[in-house]
Amino acid sequence: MSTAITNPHDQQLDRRSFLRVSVTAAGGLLVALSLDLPAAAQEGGQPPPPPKVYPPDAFVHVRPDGKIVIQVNRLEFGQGVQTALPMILADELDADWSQVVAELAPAGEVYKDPVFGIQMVGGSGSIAHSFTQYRELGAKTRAMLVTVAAKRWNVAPDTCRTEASVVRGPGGQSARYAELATDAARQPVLATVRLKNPSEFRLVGKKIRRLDSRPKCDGSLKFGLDLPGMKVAVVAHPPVFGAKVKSFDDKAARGIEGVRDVFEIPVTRGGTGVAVVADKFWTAKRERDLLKIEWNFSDVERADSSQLREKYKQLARTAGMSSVARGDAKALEGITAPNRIVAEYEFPYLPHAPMEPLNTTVRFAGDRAEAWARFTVSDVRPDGDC
Amino acid sequence: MAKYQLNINGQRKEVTVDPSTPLLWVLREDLKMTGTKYGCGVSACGTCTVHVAAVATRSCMFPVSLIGARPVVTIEAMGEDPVGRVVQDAWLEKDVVQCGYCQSGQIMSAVALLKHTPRPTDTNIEESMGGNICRYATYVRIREAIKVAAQKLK
Repeated sequence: MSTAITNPHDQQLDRRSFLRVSVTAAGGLLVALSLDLPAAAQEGGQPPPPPKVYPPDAFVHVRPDGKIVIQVNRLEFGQGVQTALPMILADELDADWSQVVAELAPAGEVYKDPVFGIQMVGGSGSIAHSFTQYRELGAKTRAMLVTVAAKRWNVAPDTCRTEASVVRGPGGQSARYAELATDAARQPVLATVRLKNPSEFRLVGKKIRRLDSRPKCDGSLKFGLDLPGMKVAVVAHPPVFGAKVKSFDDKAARGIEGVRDVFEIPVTRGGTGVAVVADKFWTAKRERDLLKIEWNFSDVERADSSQLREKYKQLARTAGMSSVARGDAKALEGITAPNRIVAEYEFPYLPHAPMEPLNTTVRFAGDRAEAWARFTVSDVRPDGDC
Repeated sequence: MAKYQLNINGQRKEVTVDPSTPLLWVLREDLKMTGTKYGCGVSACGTCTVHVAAVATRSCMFPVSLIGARPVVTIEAMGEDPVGRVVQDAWLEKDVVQCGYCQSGQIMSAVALLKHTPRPTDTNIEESMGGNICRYATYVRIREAIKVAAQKLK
């Protein structure tokens, strides 16, 4: 059975959204956020069969084995979001933190940043933008579990307390979330729910160890380059932006065992390069280094650091775009020396410089393509742009 | 192509590869042991660190043809290693990791240090760990975790 109710607190999402609960094939309570849910699946409609696969829009799964699986709608790359967002949800849910499992959510509409409207990480917005979202998901899931327990004990829900994945009744009764989960999935989702007062937080604001440390300390965490069964392509890039391949000699590379293909490909800023595809990285890299490439520099912009700096200085004196305006900037003009300080600041180009080399893996299976890459934006549009 | 008999984590492994192939790629691609990471490829970052005959070694520039009979130990064996296990636990205790990409190499360098110098000073730690770069600058916690491990191994 499945129920859905519009959620007035999710108005920050730009589309109508619903919480949907369902029993999974394996049992337990699954709370998912749905967008524009068809009427048939709403309360009073024909209940849909339990999903056979994990729904792509699930946020929290209270499993019969006691594990609480929380989907994280943002990518983890060291900032700690894979722990922080589950903490927020688990706090309102009063989940047993030792049983919380964080999973990286796939690309999907419901996982978009509620403020940015795209599925991305950036601008230090993860907690600010999803704090309320994850709190409400936790609080509503908790409310359903409490409702079931209160019904069993014939007591009022607000006389029950929750702690560490257990509901406790006023007469000393207790029930684990895992025991209540399947029945809770038959409860309607509350339209509104009381969120904790910050003084009631058990996890938020506390120093909690990361959930993802162990696999990062024993080498078992899979990064993009660690996937099995890959062909490897490396690219000979033009020595300057925009240069194109005039001709290339791949005779040396072609003769090598394990080299699958060598071909010209477009690269950034209108340039071209040469890709070498091989069964293994070392073969591809070695043969790329053996390529003899002649480059065409004819249409390449001649960049010069000192000229660029002059150009930037001139640009900096133009009006530009106003992104924030506070106070009265004109008042500065009235300040006279020696109180006036005028300075120019120049910043170098600063890349993020992560240790993991830039890489992308795409696995094609029939009409599906699964992409693993160092995205900060995990929305992939049908045209392939990210 | 040439055939090599290697001793990896105490097990005998045979691979047929080009003699110039760095140990890193033999581990990652031929033996499917991806715990050792590829960072810079020029021994400048320490991400690919393994032990070759108990010495912390950058596997990205160490050709397979030079290994011979020397035993190779990787991050995958650290859970069973008496020092490795303590170091991993200290890493968890101090919540060292962030993105985690450099940490296999950091842990391998730390284990080599502690096996050679069980009570390292700050200078010992800086000298031994200086070749392992972390983009998140987890260095302070790494130093604390090494000290925790040294204390536990006493």
